[in-house]
Amino acid sequence: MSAQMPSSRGVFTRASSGLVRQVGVGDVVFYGWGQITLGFIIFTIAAWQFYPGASMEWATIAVTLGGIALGIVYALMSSVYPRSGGEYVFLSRILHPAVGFVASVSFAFWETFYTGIVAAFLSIFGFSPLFGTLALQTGNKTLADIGTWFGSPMGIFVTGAVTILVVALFVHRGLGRYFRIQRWGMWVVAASLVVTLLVLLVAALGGLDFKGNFDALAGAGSYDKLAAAGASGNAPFDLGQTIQFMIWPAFSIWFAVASVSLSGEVKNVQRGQLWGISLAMLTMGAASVGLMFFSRVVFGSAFLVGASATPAAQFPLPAPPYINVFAGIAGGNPLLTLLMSLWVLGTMIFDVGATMIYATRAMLAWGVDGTAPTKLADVSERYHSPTWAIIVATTVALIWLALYAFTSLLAILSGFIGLAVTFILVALGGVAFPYVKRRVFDSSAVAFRVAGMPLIAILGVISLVFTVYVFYRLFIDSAFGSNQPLPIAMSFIVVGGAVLWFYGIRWYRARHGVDLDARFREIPVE
Amino acid sequence: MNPSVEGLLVETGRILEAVEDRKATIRLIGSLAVRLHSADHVYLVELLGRSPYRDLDFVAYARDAAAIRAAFESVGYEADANILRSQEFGIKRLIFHGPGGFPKVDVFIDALVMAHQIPFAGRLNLDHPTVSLVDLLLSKLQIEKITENDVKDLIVLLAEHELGSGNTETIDAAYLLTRMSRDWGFYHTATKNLVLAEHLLAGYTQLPREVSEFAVARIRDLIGRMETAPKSTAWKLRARVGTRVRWYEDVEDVDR
Repeated sequence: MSAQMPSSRGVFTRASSGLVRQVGVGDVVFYGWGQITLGFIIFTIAAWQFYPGASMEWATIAVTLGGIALGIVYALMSSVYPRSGGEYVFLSRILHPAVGFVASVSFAFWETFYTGIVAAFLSIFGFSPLFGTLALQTGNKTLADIGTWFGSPMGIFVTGAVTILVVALFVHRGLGRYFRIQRWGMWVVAASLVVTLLVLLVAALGGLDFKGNFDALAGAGSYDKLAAAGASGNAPFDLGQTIQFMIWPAFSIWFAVASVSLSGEVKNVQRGQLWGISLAMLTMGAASVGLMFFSRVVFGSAFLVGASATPAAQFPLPAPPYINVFAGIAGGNPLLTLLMSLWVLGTMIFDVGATMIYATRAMLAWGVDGTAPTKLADVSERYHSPTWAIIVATTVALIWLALYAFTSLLAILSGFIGLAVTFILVALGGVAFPYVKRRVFDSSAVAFRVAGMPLIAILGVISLVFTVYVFYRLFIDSAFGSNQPLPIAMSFIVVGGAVLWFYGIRWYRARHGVDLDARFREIPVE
Repeated sequence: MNPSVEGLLVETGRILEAVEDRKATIRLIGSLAVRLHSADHVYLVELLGRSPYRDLDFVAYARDAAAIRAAFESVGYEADANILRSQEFGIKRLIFHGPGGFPKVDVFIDALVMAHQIPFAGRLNLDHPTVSLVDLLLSKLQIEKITENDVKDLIVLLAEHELGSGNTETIDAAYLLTRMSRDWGFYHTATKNLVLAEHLLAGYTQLPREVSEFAVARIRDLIGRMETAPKSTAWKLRARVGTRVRWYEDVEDVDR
């Protein structure tokens, strides 16, 4: 190649001693996949029975679009304040320190809750159905016993505890190493998902006989009996029910925004977060729509509703009525069953990691700012990860896991109310940012305008419509289960506790000569 | 306020002594290393009107990281907390701030990871107290968004040292060509920077004519050797894609 005269673009403009950040768009997408946890689709589809006439697919498409609006608000704000720690960093600087702290505590508290709960789900929705299906397909009693053990309280606890501890170990070894493992793990998830969709496609085209396979395992006529019990699955399209159903896919897809907890380390943070969050939502939204569509076509809408509504004791198979079990039965091959289970297991394992990373990075940011004990900001000499924050998050997650496995206290507990509070505050932050921080906004790289209106404010309003509606539904939707006194009380106790803590520690720090307010007037160190 | 060259050289000496007392290996890199290694042409730095040096850059091995940190702290430097935390993500860098914040010192660990990578595994003993001349040259050639100061350093380096086979007083051409023949992206950036240096040299009329001509000849010789050196398959495949796909890493300001 002959050398040519370069353009002068960029000459004399380099900042000295720059860094090459290590977290790329792909890592943000994969982290988002972990947060979204496609495995949740198992109970999302099971809950469809409560919304006759709802289109799962259209509801998912709608929340994906609303989620992308919210995700762009997150990405834009975190690129103006590119530090790790999540919403805490930009909300504390844009709205009010107390607002940022409360939003962060609420999100981190419930993320830690889900570290424990998803670790339990790994057995309930992953291993137990897998071994149950393999036992059915092979007639092997040992596999059936293993499946039963995974579904027992001890099986749930041991599997969950081992998962949490192993994930904590890798998180402690540093996120560079963790993201390398996440990359490989998520490629396996993607491959497993492709295999599942291909098997369902073949079944939809008549190449596999789900009904015949099911009856062969459950007894002749079992399929028709369940389909008859679920006639409401064939109800005509109902827009109202579809809108109400949005709460279920929203509970999964919107969580890709949590990658802002890594913003300080994301390569070209604005582009990295914009693409990362949007692509995570788009890909997993599309996967969800595909799984929902093929589940209805291959298994039958009436069958899905009938199977989900049938009490466990009356279900004609010694395996739960989940779509991963049905997909295995449709495939009719133990190896396919194993391959098709990997996306359920993988997304749940990496959700344990994703939620732990979010919570530990939030704690680290609080520790650095002084809104929490500074010990939380201590990092390991060897691995440079926040040791104490990881110990706290792991311990709390193990407690949640034990409570979930051995008691019925948490059976109805959902953290979505507390998490939705944070989504609403961020949407509000997006609306307010161009006006309350006009100078910062105007001089930032996110000062895009559409017809004279700040883009971030427009997207903030769209996000508000979605998040406020879901928040409202959380209080009245009995099928979702978060409208019970305990989840509501817990959500508000966390918020109230965070407010009291913030003002308490502000007073305490002031007595020791530390002006917390001054720290919120500048961008924090990471 | 920029520290004086003399002040920076004194600091360099203090740092090298503190590190070597701990039996660790560290080498100077960057603009000050170019100056230190081009004693006969230091006057060019003045003639070219190079801006004052602002910081110090070193390279060390990962195995010595703890000793390096202790050494810097023993001479009054404080490690940058941001960068320490970033290391868990794989950032291979330490940054230290001197007493009162000056000077700022970058320590690259095992490799210089910027627009392109320069590995240092097993290479720090090739020269002392700086990295080898070829690594010094590569550290300037890898800069995608090059500054005029970097170009001036490049000119001084090439004016003083010829291409050869050694590592202490000549630029190891074989090693440089090996690097350029494997990585099209690095080759492209390096070529661009060399062409820019030749272009700017034409405007530096304050330089003695023979020095300019000498430097231009070396730049052309280097570009010619880089062009004709046999390329790897990966290089050829990447060259077909060209600049349609970004060929360098984004380098961000530490204090972004």
